[in-house]
Amino acid sequence: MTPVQAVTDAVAVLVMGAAITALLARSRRLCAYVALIFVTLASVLAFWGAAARLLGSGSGSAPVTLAVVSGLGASLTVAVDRFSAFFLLIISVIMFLTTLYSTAFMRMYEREHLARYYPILLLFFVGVIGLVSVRDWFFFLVFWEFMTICSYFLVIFEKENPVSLRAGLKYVIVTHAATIFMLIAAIVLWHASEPRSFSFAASAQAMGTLGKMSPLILHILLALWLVGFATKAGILPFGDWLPDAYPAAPSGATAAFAGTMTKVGIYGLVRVFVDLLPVSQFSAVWGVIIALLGTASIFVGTITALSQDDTKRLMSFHVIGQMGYMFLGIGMGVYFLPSNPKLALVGLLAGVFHLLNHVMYKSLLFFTAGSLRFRTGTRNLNNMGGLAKVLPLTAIMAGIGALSIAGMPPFNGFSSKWLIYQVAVIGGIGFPLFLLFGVTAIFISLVTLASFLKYLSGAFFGQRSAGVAHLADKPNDVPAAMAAPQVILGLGCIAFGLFPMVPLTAISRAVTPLTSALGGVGLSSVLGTSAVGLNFTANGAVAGVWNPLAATAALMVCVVIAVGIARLARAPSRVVPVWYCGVDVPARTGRFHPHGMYEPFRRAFERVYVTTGTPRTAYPVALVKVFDVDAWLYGPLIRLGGRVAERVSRSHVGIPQWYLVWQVVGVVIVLAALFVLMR
Amino acid sequence: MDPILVLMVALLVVPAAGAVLAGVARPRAAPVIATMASLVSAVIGVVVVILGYPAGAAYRLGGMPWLPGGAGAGVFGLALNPLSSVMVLVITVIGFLIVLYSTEYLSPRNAEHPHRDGRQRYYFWMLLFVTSMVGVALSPNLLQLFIFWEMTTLCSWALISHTQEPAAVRAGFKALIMTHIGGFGFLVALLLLFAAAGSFEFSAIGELSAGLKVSVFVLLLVAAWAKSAQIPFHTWLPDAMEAPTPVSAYLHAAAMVKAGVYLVARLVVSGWAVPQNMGILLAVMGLLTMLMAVLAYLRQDDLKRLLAYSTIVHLAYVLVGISLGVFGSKIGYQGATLHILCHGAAKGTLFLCVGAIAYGAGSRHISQLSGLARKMPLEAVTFLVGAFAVTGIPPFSCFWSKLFIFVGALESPGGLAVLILLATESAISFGWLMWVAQRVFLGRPSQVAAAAVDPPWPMSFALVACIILCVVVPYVGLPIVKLLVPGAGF
Repeated sequence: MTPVQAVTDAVAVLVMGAAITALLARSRRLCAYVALIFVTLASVLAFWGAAARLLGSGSGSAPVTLAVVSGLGASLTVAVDRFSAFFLLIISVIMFLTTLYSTAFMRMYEREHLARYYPILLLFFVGVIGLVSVRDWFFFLVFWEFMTICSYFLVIFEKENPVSLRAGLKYVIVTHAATIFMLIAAIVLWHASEPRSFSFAASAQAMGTLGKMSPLILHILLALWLVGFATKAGILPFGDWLPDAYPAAPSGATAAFAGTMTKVGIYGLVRVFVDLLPVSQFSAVWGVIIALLGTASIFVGTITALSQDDTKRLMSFHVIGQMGYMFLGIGMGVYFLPSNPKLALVGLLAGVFHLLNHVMYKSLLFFTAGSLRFRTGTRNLNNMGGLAKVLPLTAIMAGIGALSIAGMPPFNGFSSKWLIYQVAVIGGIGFPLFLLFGVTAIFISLVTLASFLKYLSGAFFGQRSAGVAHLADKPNDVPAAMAAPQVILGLGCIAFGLFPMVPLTAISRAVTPLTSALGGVGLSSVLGTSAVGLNFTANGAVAGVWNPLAATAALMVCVVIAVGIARLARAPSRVVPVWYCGVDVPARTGRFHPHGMYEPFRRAFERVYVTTGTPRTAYPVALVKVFDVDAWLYGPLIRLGGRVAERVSRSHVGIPQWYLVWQVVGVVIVLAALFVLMR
Repeated sequence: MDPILVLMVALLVVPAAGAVLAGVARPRAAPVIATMASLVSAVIGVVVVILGYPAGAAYRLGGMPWLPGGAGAGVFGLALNPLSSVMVLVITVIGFLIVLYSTEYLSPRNAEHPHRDGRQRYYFWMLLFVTSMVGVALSPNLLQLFIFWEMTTLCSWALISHTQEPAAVRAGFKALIMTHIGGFGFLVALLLLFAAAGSFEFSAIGELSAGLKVSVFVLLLVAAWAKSAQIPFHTWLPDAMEAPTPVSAYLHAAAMVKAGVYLVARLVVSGWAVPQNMGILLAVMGLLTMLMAVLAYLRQDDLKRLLAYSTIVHLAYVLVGISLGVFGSKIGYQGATLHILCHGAAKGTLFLCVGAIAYGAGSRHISQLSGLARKMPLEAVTFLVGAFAVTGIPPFSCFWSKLFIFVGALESPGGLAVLILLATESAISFGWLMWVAQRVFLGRPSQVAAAAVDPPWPMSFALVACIILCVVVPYVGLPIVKLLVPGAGF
């Protein structure tokens, strides 16, 4: 079985699964398990095909054309190159984990019909798999839109919740508009290609032609693509829909969005700006723009996350921030493509590695938020507290996720962020703006840590709030189907943190073949050959070394020393009620709410995040009046006709003498006329 | 006689005979007769299209020997070409679904408007409508087309005024007058054409002098604009929403308004000799109409009026697509023709869905409806499919036709501006229809929605069939419109 066959089979399995789960939706348990079986099968197929392609040698199997829209130059050509294979790997894993998680999580929704969840979730995966496997803009956009519509239905799953509905509407309208942008770009490229075709190859050639003939058009096209992908990826200012839509969906679906849907934005970005766009001065210009957008998102998204009290909304703002890191890394990579291929490779590797890490820890974090909701029924941090005793495993996994996203060594987030900083610093020597970007990214990393400390302390530590006071004080963690995905992702975060070279090797196999500019650059020439650490080499010298094992060992030693000192010193610790200066304050009022954390930040950066809200414009009443032809043309005409007819009918008086008079007058006129004519 | 000729004649005769029979039958028998007749004509329609693929057919059956000039022998006849194949499919298949749907809709159980009498009258006009539309589609020349054209005007007048309430009578009269004034332009064009070229053939327009050609074309355009409710004749269509909903569905999806765009498409395809400045006129008026109608979306509270403006937009789409054909874009023209079919399926779906809502819930006011999905899940799905289909979400119908028009736009002068305008319309109507869908079907059930009942099977059947049509029609239509290429005159 070739990778292409594996992918098409996986899609077929998912479609079949969607149909069967739709039929079985009345029986809630069966529906969930059937969905899990089909997704597992599809996931194994896709994983196997993608792994064989990514790790195997050779050029892989030839593209397979499944359908052709003749006369339009569009063909459903499926091909799995290493870059697609990398995304397919991520998708297959996330698809399995999220469905597994959902089988237990969806028990929360007793009143909602599951026909609106599992079949749509499966079709959503079809869309995602489809769009990373096709080689044709037409079908890319078809799958893209399909994915969007499916995810819209998942966002409005709570169909009687007005907040969800609002979020869903905003989401679907914004992303549809973005799709139309991309459609316009695709059609313009189609028009520029010769012979006219929507295929990737043809559009690469068309971009080359446009770059020489009409650079302005190419700039506009690239802007359209960028807006389209940035919108999906949640990059500000286009990603304003994201913090509304992500929390609205059930947590399983949110994790799937975070793990796959935002990431295909990056897939498209790399496809266009690295794979298809010929390396030229366009790469440099757009690289800076991508990095700039990324840094803006890093700053605004993460700062705004600080002031959130809703667990999933907080994480959604971090999606924006973290996507910004990827944009920063990839943007710098694209910038250096024409001038410094080695740095370009590291930038791209860093961005894509961060993507992989983000998939793991953000899906994990959304899972933990879902688990909290599952047990407590709320997403509001102010109504939680002290849950580490109830959900010990979830607490540990949330801790791992939080430290990973904050970029704490030795977790995986650190490795990729470290690479991004390296590129920013070394690249900043020639292009100082990148230095600024890098400093921003480093600063925001701390903000990320701060905001996840809020999450951890608000949810798991401290005193219980009234909202969760009813929960028994003994471990009552989530069911195994929800715990397992968390543990798998948590362990993954640690493993990739300790051994960054393993994923980086795979990523470099995926990224390097995309463009000939990276042809001569090997992974070992920029990151060394060590199996355990990263030796970042720039301009012929080692510029930075990161050895996670050694660092972890050192940290461990520190921990042991600290614990030892504490033990030796026998520092007394006692548990006492909070002292309120003698005033009798009930525990509920006296509790320190997470809402109060980072109050200065909230005040200082109040204006940073500007939500667009619903745009309101004055209705063009004047224009409507112009178009209301009835009012100013037909109506008056008819009334005029009526008046004329009425005048005429007044002559109809009903008195014989008058008619006689008119007859006489008429005869006189006729005679006079005859007289004039005969004369 | 050739089988295809027999079938084409039967396509005209069967609904006509059904109309007469239903008209004189007892009230209980009329729906049965009408359903059978429309089913038979739908089957014949499909068979005719299959038999006529790809070669088409043309027969001349009789003439007016006393006419001076060359129009003696064979004025009247029947002709099938790819364009009329598309029309025949829309007219007969959607016609059948609508008649079937009407059998339940026109009953005392209708919550919005209980129908107690007048069924025979209804089915008589409905089937006659089918006949006259088939006649429009199969006419080989302008004279015969004109005769059937005016018949459709008459039928729509009778059907819009069906309930005989003052507003309905007024709306029917308005439709009659406005389209008839357009028809007057048609008549003058016919006379000019015959006086100058001695023939009623479509191709005869090509033989006229340049100035005369423009006058004839403009007069025919006026007729088509009036029929298809384009600026400045767009005001009758929203008022015609007083009609029973199945009538509106037929008027919008398959009949009446489609006759107008069909005429223009037919003129362009016959010899491809339409002057370029006419193409500009067509495109500008189309885009203007589109802008106007999209603006009007935002003010509608009545679901049917909203859909009426949507129809106006999509007819403008067809006309813009045809104008691209005038500029030489094969794909744009094919897209326009395909849009007739795709929009027919999509708009039929939406109207039948709104009818089912009115039937079950007793209201079609957006402000009164909320959370309807709980009681009417099928209608929720249907509406969403219809909305996706009409706004062009893959894989539903209008996605394909719109895409062809989008792509064709770039092949014409000033294409990028046209493309951007079309895309803007697409985005706005998508947003608005999604808003409406959410407002009506999701959220907490309103009082009206809580009391709603799911309609009985004939209506549900028609809705499911429409959903299937929304997916299937592009694949049926694509091979047919492929045959429409410059150079092939019909």
